[in-house]
Amino acid sequence: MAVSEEGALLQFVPFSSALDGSFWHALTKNKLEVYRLDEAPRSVHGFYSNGYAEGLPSSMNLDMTAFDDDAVIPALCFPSRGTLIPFNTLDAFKTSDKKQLLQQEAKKMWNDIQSGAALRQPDLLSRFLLLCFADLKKYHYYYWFAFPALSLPEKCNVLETKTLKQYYGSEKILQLQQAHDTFCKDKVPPAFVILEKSSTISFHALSEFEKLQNDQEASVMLGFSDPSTMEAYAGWPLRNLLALVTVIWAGLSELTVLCYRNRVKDGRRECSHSLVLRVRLSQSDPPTVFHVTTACPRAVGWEKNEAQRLVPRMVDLSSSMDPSRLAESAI
Amino acid sequence: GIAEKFTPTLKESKFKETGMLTAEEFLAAGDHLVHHCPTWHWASGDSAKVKSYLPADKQFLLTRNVPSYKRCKQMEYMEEQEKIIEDENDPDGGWVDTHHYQSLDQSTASVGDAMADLSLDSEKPTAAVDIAEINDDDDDDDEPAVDMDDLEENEMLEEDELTVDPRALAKKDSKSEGVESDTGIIQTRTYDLNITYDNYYRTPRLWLKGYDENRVPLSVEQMYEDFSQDHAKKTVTFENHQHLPEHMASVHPCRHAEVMKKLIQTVEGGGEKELHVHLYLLIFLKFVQAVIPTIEYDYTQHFHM
Repeated sequence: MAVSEEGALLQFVPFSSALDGSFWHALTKNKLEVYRLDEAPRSVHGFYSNGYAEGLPSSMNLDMTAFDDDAVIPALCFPSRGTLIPFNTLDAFKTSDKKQLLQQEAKKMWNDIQSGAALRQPDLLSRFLLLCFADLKKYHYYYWFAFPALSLPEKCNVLETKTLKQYYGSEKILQLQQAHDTFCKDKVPPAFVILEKSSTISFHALSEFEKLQNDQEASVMLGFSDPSTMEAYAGWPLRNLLALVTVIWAGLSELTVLCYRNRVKDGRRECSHSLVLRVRLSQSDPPTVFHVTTACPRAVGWEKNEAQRLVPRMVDLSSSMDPSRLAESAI
Repeated sequence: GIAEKFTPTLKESKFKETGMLTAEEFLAAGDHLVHHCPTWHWASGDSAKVKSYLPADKQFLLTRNVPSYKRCKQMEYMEEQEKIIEDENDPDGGWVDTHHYQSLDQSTASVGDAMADLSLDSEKPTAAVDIAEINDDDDDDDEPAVDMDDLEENEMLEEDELTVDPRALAKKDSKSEGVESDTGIIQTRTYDLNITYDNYYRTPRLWLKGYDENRVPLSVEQMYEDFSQDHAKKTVTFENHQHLPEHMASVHPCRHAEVMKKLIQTVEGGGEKELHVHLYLLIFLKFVQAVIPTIEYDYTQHFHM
């Protein structure tokens, strides 16, 4: 990996939307019975995992429970809050001001960072926007996801990238895993702090980062549950976490980040493929102080299509939803 | 199906004698699976399809995003596993032509009926009508689909150089075993697997939904590429899911009990070891792997067969 004084540009693997068929059924039902012609934004939710198998994208999953506020997120998964806008026409979908919609969604995150809410509840750093037009006559669903990421810091560099296996010996990895489980019990937070002190590893809440950072005898890592499966790149959730770091701990110039990946294969749990990054935050000097009135940074995050172009997607479910087509294909 | 609805739940445990499970045993075996293989979890599914013999929050088991790196024809013939499920006393070789059971399964009671019900709901007719009007402009089914490129917004939306293009990189340096297409992109398919309790056959039942690398659902023909060719057409059917408003591929359960009975006997090794019912699903998952050898789901636990 690139190791130099300046380091390489820190880049992030974006989320890939992954919708179950049951999501479209539930959306159709809601459209007909609840939303009708109302295009008002609706709260939905999705979830992602840090245990995807090798070579798979960083999926953001939505199924029929996306519309249910009380739905339980599957084990080993992390919630993401979403805003669904059910457009009535393809034209409304097309002409909507996507730049502004994304910025609005990002603003919610920005407010949560500034108020300190996201520090206490780091899952507030994961949000998405879903624009949708359902052509219910043809069972064609047009949709476009955005996973807003705040461009803050504008860019930063990675000085060193190691796998956890390279960073820690196997004994220490086991210790880390145990510390992780002790800390998490039933609910795994999407971001945390890892402290190593007199050869003991422990996990802590994100809000303790500053306090622990001041401990001269300890080494501290910022950790997050990483949906990326790529060997050299961290996943999307690190972006907004670094935005939070930049706002809350202004002046911090360098930190070590654990991109925690937790895969289960053949009955064995594995986290040695996690990444450890040494990141340099390109801070202005003196550090910028962010106030409540500071404008929300520019947001990016519209999902690209298969050809890597900024085009919405369309799914044709006529073969699985259209009564006439189903009658034809019934075995 | 109708038959399933009227079959009383099996109360008394006979899993070793019959290979069948009671609903309570399915629950216990499911809890065990979830505990040992955390990629599996319980789901409740469609509230309209809740079965009374299982808790509402534990209706069926689910695992998502399971990779399938290769197609079946690329894999070596899994002789070892084929043997397990063969039954030399059976003229059909241990598997049945599932089309015989068509009438039992009522597989044509379709999602479409539910859809029709939705839009014809007598209490709320306005929604359906209004939406129909809105969509009137593309009324004609023969009309070409919307050109998605017309919806492109490359010019308007901001991007940044901090976003990795996973597919471009996968091309360059992936060590994955995936199939390379002409464009050099790794085509890793994924499957969502569900295990439901079939109250008619009194066995677990496996359901599969496949997606391509862009999460576009696979066609029936595409999914057949991932099933063992010996079993594909006679064992795998496409039916309405027991708990979801979806059509899915399913390994037909009509011979499961018999095969499971044999497997349980093999694992027990002629009575030397005692097998507990909570291991049932782990054995079941090992057994169905013969049908879906390309799908790398987790079933853990190393017991000898």
